[in-house]
Amino acid sequence: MADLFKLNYKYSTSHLVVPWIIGGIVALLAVILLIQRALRCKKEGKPFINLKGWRLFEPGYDKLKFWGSLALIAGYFYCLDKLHFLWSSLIFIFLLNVLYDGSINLKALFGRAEGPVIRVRPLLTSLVITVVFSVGIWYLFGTVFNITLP
Amino acid sequence: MELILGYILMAALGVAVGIIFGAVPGMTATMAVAVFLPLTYAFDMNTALYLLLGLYVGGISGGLVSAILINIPGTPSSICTTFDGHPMARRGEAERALKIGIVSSLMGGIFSLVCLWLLTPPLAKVAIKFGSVEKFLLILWAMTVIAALSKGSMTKGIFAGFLGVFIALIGEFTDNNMMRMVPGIFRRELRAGFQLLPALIGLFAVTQLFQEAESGMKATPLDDNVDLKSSRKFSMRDFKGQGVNVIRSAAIGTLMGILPGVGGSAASIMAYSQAKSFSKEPEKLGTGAVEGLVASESSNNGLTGGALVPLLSLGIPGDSTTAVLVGAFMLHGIQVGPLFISQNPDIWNTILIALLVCNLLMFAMMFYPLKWVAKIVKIPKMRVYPVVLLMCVVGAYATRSGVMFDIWSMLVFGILGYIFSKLKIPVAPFLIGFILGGDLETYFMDSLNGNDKSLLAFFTRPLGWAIWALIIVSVWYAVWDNRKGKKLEKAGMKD
Repeated sequence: MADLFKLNYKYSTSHLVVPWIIGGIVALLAVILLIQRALRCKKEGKPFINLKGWRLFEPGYDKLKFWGSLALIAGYFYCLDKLHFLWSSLIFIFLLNVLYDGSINLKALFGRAEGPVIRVRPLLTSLVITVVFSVGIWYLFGTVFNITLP
Repeated sequence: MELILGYILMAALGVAVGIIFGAVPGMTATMAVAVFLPLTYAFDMNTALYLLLGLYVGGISGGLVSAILINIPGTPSSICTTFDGHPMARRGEAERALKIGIVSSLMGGIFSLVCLWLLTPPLAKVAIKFGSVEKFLLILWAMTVIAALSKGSMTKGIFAGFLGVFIALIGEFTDNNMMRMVPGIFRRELRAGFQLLPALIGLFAVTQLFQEAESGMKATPLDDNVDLKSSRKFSMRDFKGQGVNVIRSAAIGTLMGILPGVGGSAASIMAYSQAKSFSKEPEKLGTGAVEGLVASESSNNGLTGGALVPLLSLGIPGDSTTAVLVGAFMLHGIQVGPLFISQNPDIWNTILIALLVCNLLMFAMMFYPLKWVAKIVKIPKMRVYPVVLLMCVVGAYATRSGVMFDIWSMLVFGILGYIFSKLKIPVAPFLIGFILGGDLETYFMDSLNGNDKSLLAFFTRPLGWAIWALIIVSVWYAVWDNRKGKKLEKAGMKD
């Protein structure tokens, strides 16, 4: 009887015992979640998979800022390894600031909208914030606190 | 004397930054602690604790500012503050509402500090007797509590918790030095698995950045009907008859903090609903009643000390912010758990004193310069997030003193947290599972290896039976609460 409760594993494979158990539980819970959804859909008379009208993003989400953020962050991380922390930060934190404050109007730049291409005041604010914080953090962490920076 | 002054300055810095993170909608106390963790590399543990606890207390308290002034909770834990705080502000009582909220926060914080001081040592004494079996069962209990209290999403809560455990298992198993679930190209980087700090920063800061970018980094809308200058003044008489409400709400907050995985929003909602049940004039709550404001604010600050109780006695974080604090302890090579107080009496005393100092500083820094504090809601998020990203990079890279993989894994966890938010999968259980996953495996395997690989090991010790009883109670509660919720939903649909 006691043998029923024994787990058979060797020392050399003991690293797989818990991952298999937890993986099984995660898979089981995922199946339960799918069944719950199927039951709910049946009750409400909706199809289980309804890609029509399904969207990951909020309606009217800010495409430029979202995808721009993702691209700039990925670019920033890539350049951290190639350039110095300070140079990469100066470039990409400035670009992120410009992306968020809209100081460079891309639509006007490409002739798709009217109005000034560059708004000087927010652009200067972006520049000041970038320089102050990039240099400040680089100096504080890298020099004063001696923390390893990229 | 210089040392004490240094501690107080650190606490003041933490509280001030925490209040800003708390008051700006979309930024949270957890994010503040995660982003500022790298600063603690430069300090000893005591100094770091003053900073981090300051961020925690300031972050939780700061949420009331935007909740009252613009009807948007600065942090999830001040959600119920909007119900009565904002109506008060709109009828010309903004200053009164803010000061009632600040005093309630102070009282809640002090109450939870006393609970932390009284409850942690006896709980740790019991936990010292725990062997691998009990420790494993305790983590299992924490997972069931997460499920029991994931209102309306029980299965998603427990799914997130176990997914966190699964991801924590990636890397080398120290018993036989074998790797598992690691792609060949990352064998070197993932030998020790995903690091906690990049995961924390990714889940709480990068995710938030994507969410804000999605909604266009818009400026917080201000309410023109709220004017601080001409508003009704505050008096301590406003607390007349609120004694029981304060103690009950702070106790609920502390209790919810002690339970693993429960955040300040749940504490605030429960305290608010209890205040409504016990109120002589329940119909007034939600229209600008002092009672509701006091309940919400004393409960969410009650959470601060409560969430530290299981962390420092059992090694299980009470909420997502204390889960981030685990990162700080790990950075300084300190193991939290039953032996924490006996092995680190100095740090234990520091935590108690720091929490008191931070609560008092929070009061002083919010109550008196109220006009300045009210201006925090005007800080543009679009200027804060790029700077937050800078701090994130420093924190993730410093984890192992210069591994680029950690920065990329921060981005991966940021995207994962973003997808979780879209699928309505709670992040707190995932994080707690991720933190406890390694221990769960170690205790499980130790229990089996010490008992001839038999699962019966988990049913043979009296202390284990007590934890099994707790597990059964929380599973029963989870099922009961889920059924009750469904019945209420049905009744609501019929109405």
